Amino acid sequence: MEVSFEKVLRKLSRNPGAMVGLFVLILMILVAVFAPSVATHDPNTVDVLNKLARPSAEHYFGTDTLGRDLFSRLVHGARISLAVGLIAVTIGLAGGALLGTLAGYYPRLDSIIMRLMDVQMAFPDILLAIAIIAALGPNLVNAIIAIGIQGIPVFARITRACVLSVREELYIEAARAVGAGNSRILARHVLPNILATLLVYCTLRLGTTILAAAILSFLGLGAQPPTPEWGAIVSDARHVLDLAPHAAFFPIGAIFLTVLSLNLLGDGLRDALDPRL
Amino acid sequence: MDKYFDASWKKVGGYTTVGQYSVKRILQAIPVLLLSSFLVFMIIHLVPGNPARVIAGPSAPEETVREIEKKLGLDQPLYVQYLRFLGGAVRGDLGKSLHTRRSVVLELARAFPKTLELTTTAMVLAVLFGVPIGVYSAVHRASIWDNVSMLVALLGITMPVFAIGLILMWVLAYRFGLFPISGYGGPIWTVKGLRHVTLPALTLAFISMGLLARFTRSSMLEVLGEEYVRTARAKGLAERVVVYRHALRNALLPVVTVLGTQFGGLLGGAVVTETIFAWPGLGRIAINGILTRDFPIVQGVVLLVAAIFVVVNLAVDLLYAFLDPRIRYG
Repeated sequence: MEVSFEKVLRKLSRNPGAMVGLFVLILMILVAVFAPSVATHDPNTVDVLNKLARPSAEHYFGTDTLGRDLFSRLVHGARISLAVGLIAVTIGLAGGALLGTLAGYYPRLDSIIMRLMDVQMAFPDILLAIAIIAALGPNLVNAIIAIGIQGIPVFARITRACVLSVREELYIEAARAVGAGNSRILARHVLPNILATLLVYCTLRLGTTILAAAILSFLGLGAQPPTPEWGAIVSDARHVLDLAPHAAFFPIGAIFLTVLSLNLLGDGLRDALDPRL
Repeated sequence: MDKYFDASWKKVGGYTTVGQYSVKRILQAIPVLLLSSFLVFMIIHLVPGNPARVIAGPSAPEETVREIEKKLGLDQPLYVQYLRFLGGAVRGDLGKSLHTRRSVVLELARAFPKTLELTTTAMVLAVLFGVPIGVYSAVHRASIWDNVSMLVALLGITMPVFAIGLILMWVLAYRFGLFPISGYGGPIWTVKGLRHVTLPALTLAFISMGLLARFTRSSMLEVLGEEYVRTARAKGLAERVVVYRHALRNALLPVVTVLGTQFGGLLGGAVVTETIFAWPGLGRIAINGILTRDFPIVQGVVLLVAAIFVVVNLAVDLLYAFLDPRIRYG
């Protein structure tokens, strides 16, 4: 199965949802990387006299309960969300790849590992995160660990499937005992497959991770004040919802937009990489 | 079924009876429960550093730390602690809350019915609204109703639970004052109780509703394209009869399947919903427990939820085995 880069890009470009998702994602990455330049104020400067101000020319999104500029806080929040997402996905990927490879190579470990993964997948994510954070303590690092662990089972499954198919191909190769094929050629066929599946899932998982981080921070189990994580910002604004709904709905909008974009992009990638379409 | 029944545990002719399948599944559930109890027990031991020190606080004297260690039995070897934990759990003693000094089991017993009320109301709402919307959308495909409802359903799935909760709270409670903002109003058979439970239940139900609507719609569309539907139409049956008597029944079967998997999501969503609306259920005491480092409470909640989860999944599996004979084969 040949996967050509240009063909995939062309298919993807015909999907309007995915294109919007990609655009928003790139925008968010740029905002996150250049956060200090994009932000108009310091996100932590308190100005209580000016609290809960409506959006204006000076404060694009208004101010929060302590008079901090909401726009700047959201911009720095983008940086945090992206970092959290990438680290957590990496944890899931690394852990999953390790377990999946072990399960694929050692049949005796296979059933135990896969059963454990099934049990974890069936259990509600938030409760698992709660248990882990209960032990390690409520802060952002532990939240990242908890969310990262959530992602391990599916990565393990994907890796295991690939390892199994590689092994099968190797046996067929050996049986044929032909010099034409060697493991490098196999990698050229199997690897694109693996990368395609992983890319799709990583994109979707990034969205889930950012959402999970927002929920945990909202509950007080993740980012602690004054960290401007989007979920934490919503939590701050929760108590003054009637006075200043903008303080809650702007960060909610940011979260929604980001997660939606990642979902659209992920779905688009999945369709574009599907050889059958 | 009788001619395939064999008194031995082995499958005969490739078939098992519902009874044999049930026992097999129950036996499989026990190690899962044990594993969950062990993991819950390990929560207090995964704490970096000395858990007694964490509970006492960094400035407390060594004596207090040692006292706490003794009281919680942390000075005993690990397996002794685990056996005491298990023994206590089976006898209905999960220790005392470090915060309120009341029995953990008592706190759980107070909170559990509230969470149950919330989740069941939410599930009922989700089915009551989600399924008919899905069916109607499928029957009136590509109509304005279809497009709008599917868009709203997609919104429900992509929005985080707390966003939906806050939006509903703002619109319905603050802006229009239709419902109380938060809190528990009493059992749901009272008017006050119903008013208080509406917003939290709607919030919790929203995501499920969206999923159910979409899934029912696609299932219904699939069924409507089947041969026997065309046959029924060719027979001259009225469209209404075709849709609601023949197609619907078959479309609903996979929907029931999806319902079972929704349960886990509802539990997770309940934690957030309870926090937003100050609903005095399990979710709220769990969060409070974590923030106050009240390990016995957190362990109690997680253990209870894990147990409920295993039991519910088991019940659902057995129900499917009863309804769909194909599952027990092989």
